[in-house]
Amino acid sequence: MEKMIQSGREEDFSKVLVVATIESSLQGLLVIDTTEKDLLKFADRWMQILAIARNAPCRKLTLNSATTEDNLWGYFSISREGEGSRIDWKPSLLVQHGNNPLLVVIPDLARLSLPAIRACVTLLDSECATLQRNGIDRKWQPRFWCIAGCQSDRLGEVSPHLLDRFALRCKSPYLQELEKLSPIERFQRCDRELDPNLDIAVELSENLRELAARSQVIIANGVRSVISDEAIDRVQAYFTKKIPLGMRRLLTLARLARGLASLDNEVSVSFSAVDRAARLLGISQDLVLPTQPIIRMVEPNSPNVSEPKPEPKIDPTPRLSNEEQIEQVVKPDKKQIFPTTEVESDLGVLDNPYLEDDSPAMRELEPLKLPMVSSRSPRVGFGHPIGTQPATNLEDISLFGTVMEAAKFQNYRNHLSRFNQDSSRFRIWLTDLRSYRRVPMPQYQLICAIDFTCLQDRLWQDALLTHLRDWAYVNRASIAIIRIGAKDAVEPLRSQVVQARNLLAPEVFKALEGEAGVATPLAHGLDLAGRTARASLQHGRSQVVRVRLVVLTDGRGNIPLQASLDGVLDRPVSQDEIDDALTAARSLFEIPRLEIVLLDPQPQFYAELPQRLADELGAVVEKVEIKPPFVGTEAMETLEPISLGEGL
Amino acid sequence: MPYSMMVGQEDLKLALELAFIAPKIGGVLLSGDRGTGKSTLVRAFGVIANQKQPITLPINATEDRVVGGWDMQKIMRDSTFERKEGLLEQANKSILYIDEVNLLDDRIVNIILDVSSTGILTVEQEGQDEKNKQIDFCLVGTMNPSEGGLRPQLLDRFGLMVEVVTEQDEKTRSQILKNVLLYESERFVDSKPFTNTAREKDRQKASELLKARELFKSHVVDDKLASVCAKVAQAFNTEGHRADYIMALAAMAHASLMDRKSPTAEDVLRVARFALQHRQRGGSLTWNEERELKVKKVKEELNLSAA
Repeated sequence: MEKMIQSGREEDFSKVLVVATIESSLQGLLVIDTTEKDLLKFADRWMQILAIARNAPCRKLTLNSATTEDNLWGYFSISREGEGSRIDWKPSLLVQHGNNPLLVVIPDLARLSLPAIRACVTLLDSECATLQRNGIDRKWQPRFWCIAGCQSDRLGEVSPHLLDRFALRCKSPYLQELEKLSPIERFQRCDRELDPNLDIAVELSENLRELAARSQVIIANGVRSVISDEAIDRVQAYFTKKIPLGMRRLLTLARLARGLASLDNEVSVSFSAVDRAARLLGISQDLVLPTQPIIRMVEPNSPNVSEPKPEPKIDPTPRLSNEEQIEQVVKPDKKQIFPTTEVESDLGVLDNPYLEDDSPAMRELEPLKLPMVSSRSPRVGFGHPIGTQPATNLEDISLFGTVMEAAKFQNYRNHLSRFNQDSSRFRIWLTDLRSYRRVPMPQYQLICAIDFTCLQDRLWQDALLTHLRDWAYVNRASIAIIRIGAKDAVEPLRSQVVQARNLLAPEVFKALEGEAGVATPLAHGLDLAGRTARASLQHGRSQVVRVRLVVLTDGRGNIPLQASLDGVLDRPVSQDEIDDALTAARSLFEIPRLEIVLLDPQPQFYAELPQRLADELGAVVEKVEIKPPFVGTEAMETLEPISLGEGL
Repeated sequence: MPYSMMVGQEDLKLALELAFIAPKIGGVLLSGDRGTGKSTLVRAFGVIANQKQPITLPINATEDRVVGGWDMQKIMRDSTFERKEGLLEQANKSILYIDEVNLLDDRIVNIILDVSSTGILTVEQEGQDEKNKQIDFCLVGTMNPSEGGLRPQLLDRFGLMVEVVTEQDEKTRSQILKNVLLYESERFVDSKPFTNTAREKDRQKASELLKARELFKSHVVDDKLASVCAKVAQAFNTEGHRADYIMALAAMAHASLMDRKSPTAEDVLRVARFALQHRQRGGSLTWNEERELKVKKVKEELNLSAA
């Protein structure tokens, strides 16, 4: 039975792939909560379907976080020609793939590079594409399909504009299977999947081959099922509760229904084809009609029925619940046939395919815009190269980019009369110079050392929010959270550091959530803060120019630094633990370009300790407010809930 | 998709038609929700207005393709330098369409601003020497405001702006669905009765627009029209006088479209929103009830004075 459900899920998933092959406007498929290996399997399956349906081998292009403009559009390449070499424009697969269908594979949409994101927004669901770069002028009709994976908890990081381009949404058909595995089995499976030699190619089932062959006939004939008024009304009915922005979601449902009906050789798209399409997409599972309402037939002349007598008709609006309903309806004069409604089975579809509508926005304000490099220091934030640009000075010159630019003109330059005497030299002119265009790197860092054992009844989120929002977010700072004394710590004797590229990363808020544990390894926490700050300010290619450390503690450490480092506590608590913390604090004071703020939770006991610690740190002290005493249920209801996420 | 098959979005269509009838309006900015058919409508309009797809400037275009540069393939293949027209030149006397205009590189935005404000293209770089080339294009941009805005200077270059919103009327939405799906169904078959009828309607629309364009040439901004435009602009406390001027042009274009010999106050009030929306003090791009009330108030005042 388990296997049957599994194969049912896969069959449904494959059916979506076949319909997308027929309906050229259903180009983009987003698979939620899938592993990379599974996504590659789906991609392989779709390529096989596309090859059969479009009667030509399918090509594949993978886009990821390292994809550059050159990968997307094409580049100048050097090839050997006789004794010398020649330079040619080599268009990318996206621009030129002949009559072959192309499948673009994006393993992780949340980590896609900016040029690739912009390309997807421009090309997906577009009737025509234009390339106007580096002297190249091309116009073409995009004939590609795209499959992308994304974890549901990372959807908030993706631009809604980009997500909107992925008309089709599905949950991985293997997800439920994966969820049932024990942690060890899951680990084993992931480990197996990491094997590069693992063959992902799976032959299409007979059933799927037949469907793909049927789609080939549909594409060749060009004939699709006709969409009826009834089907249009049904499509609309799925969106009456909340009218979506634009028409894409309605069109997707209608197109999927039409594709399904065409595959079933139906002349027109019926009411039930729309329901089937909605089920495949996972649109409003709770809106599907009840399996069978209890109907009490009443004779037309019955005194219980008030005038005028309503005509019995099928309400196109889906019901809001599956609860048993008792309805009083009038027996019709003539017999009517009700359309069949399929009984829902557990097919693992999404509860809501448009999860981004409710996901908190954890992305830049304008995620599709080219990065702005704003620097208050002479050290420009240089990340990895994402392309080249004409150089305006001699800093950060791209040697390869410059040579490639010069190579284009060598034939011409060597023919110039002034170089006749020596035509074999490679000539680089000033206008050839190219510098790197780079991803901006954070120049600021916020380190928050949070002692979870002193937060009870304190409005600490308010105190911290100022630093997170007004300093870290404004400066696009990278974030490090030092968790001290958290209950869920894997090693209670040690503090833990969580690093994130910026405030919008979901791990930041996860790290800030925690309950008080049994130990307070404050000295280790401060030591970690010092190491993190030094690494950012002084090590490697880091571009951080200023670090702000916010320490939230009452100063009552109870684990010596050595015990944290050894992982063993072999003596009872004493004054040494507090002294250790003060010593670690003193070493932080010596780090240049580190500004420190101590958030004083105003402890009831040892109230002087935070100030002592602040003196050692050289920190500015900010008081953390104490929660007002409990004043009864009614008053509590009027209090606004505090959330760090909302504040941002 | 043929222009006549596009259902709803009447303001958007009207703004494009006005910009075609009165090229001096300078262009249209369409800002709004995703999936409302902005791009499809602009492309369809380009076909009826200029019998070809509009010249499209993609957001990743490089400078050499915008202002023109050397034909790289000729240099590499034949070692000969031949200039290749840029998109601005290609768009001369027609539409320059920028999809997602708010995502354009700042440097490219500056170039477009320069050329559209002066009407002159000068290229003196990489050995090119193109001076004082007259360029006159209708700039049409689409954008999704949730992905960022535009600088006020570029906003001002668009004569008119339309805020595109999702159609809420159920019947209109049904008709949109029907037309899109019907058009798609006919795309790959020989028999295209629906599309052919729409194409015929497009031809009629094109000739109506050309007729209106001719009629527009006979219009002049008289004192009455100028006074109404000034009154509306004053009510909105706009910066500069471009809003008044564009409003007058758009009102005359509207009168021409309605086959009227002279524009009325009604024409001005119909197009006022398009000219004022992006020129409000404070940089707001939305048109709220308060602004609508202002227009109503001006309307009442004008009716009173007429009485």
